[in-house]
Amino acid sequence: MSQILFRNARILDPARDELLEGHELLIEGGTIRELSEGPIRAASAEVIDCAGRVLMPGLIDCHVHVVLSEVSIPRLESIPLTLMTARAMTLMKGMIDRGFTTVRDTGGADWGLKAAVDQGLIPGPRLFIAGRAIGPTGGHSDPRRRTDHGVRCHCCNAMAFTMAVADGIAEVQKAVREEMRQGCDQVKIMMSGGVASPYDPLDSLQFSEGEVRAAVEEAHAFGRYVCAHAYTPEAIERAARCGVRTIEHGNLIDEPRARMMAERGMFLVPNLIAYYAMRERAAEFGMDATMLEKNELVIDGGLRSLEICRRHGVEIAFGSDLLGQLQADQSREFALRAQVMAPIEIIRSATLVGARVLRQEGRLGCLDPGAHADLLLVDGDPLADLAVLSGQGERLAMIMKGGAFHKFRLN
Amino acid sequence: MTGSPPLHLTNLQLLDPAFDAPRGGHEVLIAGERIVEVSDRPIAAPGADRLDLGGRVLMPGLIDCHVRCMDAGPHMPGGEEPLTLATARAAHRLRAMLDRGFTTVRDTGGTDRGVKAALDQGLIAGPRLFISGRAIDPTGGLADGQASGGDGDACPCCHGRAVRPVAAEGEDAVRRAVREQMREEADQIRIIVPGVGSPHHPPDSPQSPATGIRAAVDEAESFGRPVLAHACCAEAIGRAVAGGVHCIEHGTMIDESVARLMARHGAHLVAGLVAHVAIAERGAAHGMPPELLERNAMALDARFRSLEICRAAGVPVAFGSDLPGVLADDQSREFSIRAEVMPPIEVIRAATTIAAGVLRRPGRLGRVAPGAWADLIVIDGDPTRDITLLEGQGRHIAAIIKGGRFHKNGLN
Repeated sequence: MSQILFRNARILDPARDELLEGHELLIEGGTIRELSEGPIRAASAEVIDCAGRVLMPGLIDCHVHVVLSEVSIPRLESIPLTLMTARAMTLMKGMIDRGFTTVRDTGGADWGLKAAVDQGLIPGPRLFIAGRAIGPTGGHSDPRRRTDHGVRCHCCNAMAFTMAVADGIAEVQKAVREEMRQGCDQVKIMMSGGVASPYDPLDSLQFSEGEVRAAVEEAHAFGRYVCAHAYTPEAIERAARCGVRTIEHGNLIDEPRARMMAERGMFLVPNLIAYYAMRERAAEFGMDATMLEKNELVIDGGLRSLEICRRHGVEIAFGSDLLGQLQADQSREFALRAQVMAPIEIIRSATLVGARVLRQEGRLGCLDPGAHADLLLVDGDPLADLAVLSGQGERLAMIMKGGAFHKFRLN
Repeated sequence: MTGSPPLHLTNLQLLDPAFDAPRGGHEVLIAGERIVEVSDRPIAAPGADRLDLGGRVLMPGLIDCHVRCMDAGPHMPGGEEPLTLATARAAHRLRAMLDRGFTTVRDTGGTDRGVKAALDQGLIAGPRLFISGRAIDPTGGLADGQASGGDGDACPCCHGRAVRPVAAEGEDAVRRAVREQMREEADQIRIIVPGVGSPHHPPDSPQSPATGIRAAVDEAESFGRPVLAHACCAEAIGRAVAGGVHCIEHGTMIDESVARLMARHGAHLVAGLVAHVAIAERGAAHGMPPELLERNAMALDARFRSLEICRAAGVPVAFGSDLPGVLADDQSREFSIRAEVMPPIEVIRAATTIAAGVLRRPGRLGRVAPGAWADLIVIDGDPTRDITLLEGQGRHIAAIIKGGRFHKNGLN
């Protein structure tokens, strides 16, 4: 198997607090073989002189929607699945160009897209999929017009493709089983109102306890877990009591609920950039006023939720949750978080913690022997200035996924 | 494109298929997506970007009139893959076609307006795409065993079956099916006309009633669209052409009298040999069943004969590769296989001027002439002398221009 030796790099191992000088990293095939304090002897290896750049694991975004190619969800109703896929290809390429070598899709991406990436048909990050996001009638995953009472086809357009509605324990069980049959890595349910849905109040509680427990039980029976869309303390508490593993968004969390999450080892996946980007530009892409009003209800909670969860020891992963044309803002999340967290903590959110959310500890988000060779070579030190990770990957000299170069521009 | 300066091509051998061989001393001027001037004298174009082609041959981009971008396999297991994966595969294939110098393709396998929009918007790279929507089977039967319907599917749109033929029995159903395809932006309508004893159908397969064929043609013409018919045996071809069909696909078992009928009606034939050759070589490895391989062997011999019959009768035969997805990379081998029975320039015309006629874009496509779209390829050598220069996955193609923009520029 072919080997590549990275020499003369400063190493950013997210398990450490500081850069490692004078270390060398050897990969073999698609896997990291050795990280060493001194020179590594590998006679047949191709040697890359990193010229003092920073070598770090590829980034992990735990909350994306690669098929939500419109800011205004109803516009997806006129997008056939073929065009949806072509757009998703463009969006996924943008993500890996920005250094995200792994993303967790929390509603929409299916096994077909995952297979297309795995087979090398399209360039993009590793995908961990949820299939359709599941919610109750009238909830955050029910984008139908009020004048539309018909039986939904689940597949004819991009809007119907990404979301499922289920009511009652039996329907929830069936919906969860269906997504697992379709190869989902995690099950996504809607437990409170949301911004980009038309008729659900933000503070609405979605799904009864019985329905949530049914989803969790089914997911566990299949070796999967449940992630829940939830903003309010009440929704977070219900999720915690019913066995949900990760809270998506969580902007309005309070101290007692943060304690509950910490006690249960739950993760928070916030996504601050989504709200700022929507405030700035969603109207121009057709988001209606009632949704923008809901956005204002949660935007200020974002930084506070990070601060509360951090204080209570809740593990915080990196998320972005950007829709459509706003996805180019993905890496602005770093700068937003830097207002309340240290750079190394934010990098851990997007590496080590992300890997734990994905149950890929030791395989992703780290430089351990045996991990996937998902690596970035950065012009500059992210620990000194997170801005080097911002933009569209301009300061990434190299992006590698599974030992294969996605980008290599060392001069 | 708008705002970018005109492109002035110099020092080239011009291979316009209206002529028999490349001609030196010509220059070509492109503005926007069109060719605006072709001259045997120096063109005065101040402000244009000047590009020296180093004496290479400039010819129109190639046109393949029978591709199936979203095809899953050699015998179409269908329904086994979701549209997301099928689309990703199509994107991959379309780029490879453009890399091979095909700047236009006509899809006969159900590829939809979404893929076409993705190409037009530049989300994916590939040739201009002319789509047929879902093929229509006016027998209402299960021609080829491919049509969906009656299989308990409430909704066929979420998986690969979305690209398969739709069954439509009776004149009204045919009209509705045709209208539905045109509502979905089909550039042409494809119908299936199975015939008695054709190699692809059992002897008792249902025949398309003449009324169904005429209804399809009538509807399509009302919308300004041509109709192509999948037809293999002479009797079915005759029935299709008599019903007003504009173009026959395959036509494997055509005879002299039906060929003369086609010529009288001005109908085109789209046919290819490479699919049969590739299937004979590798079909078994891809799981094609023995009975189909046997039919394939029979069809290959018949195809060579059909080309000769059409040539003698004066039926224009366009280039169509018709390769199953897993064998799609063999597309350009069609050139040298065909060149076994006709001169290279005729094979080139099949993939340029004749194909432009099939697509009803004469003068726009397939020519290097003022008013044509600037779909051009630059070849390291003269393909009228060595047709294999068009093969090898674009290895001998130094530059590829589609609509005035470079897809590939390896001139320096």
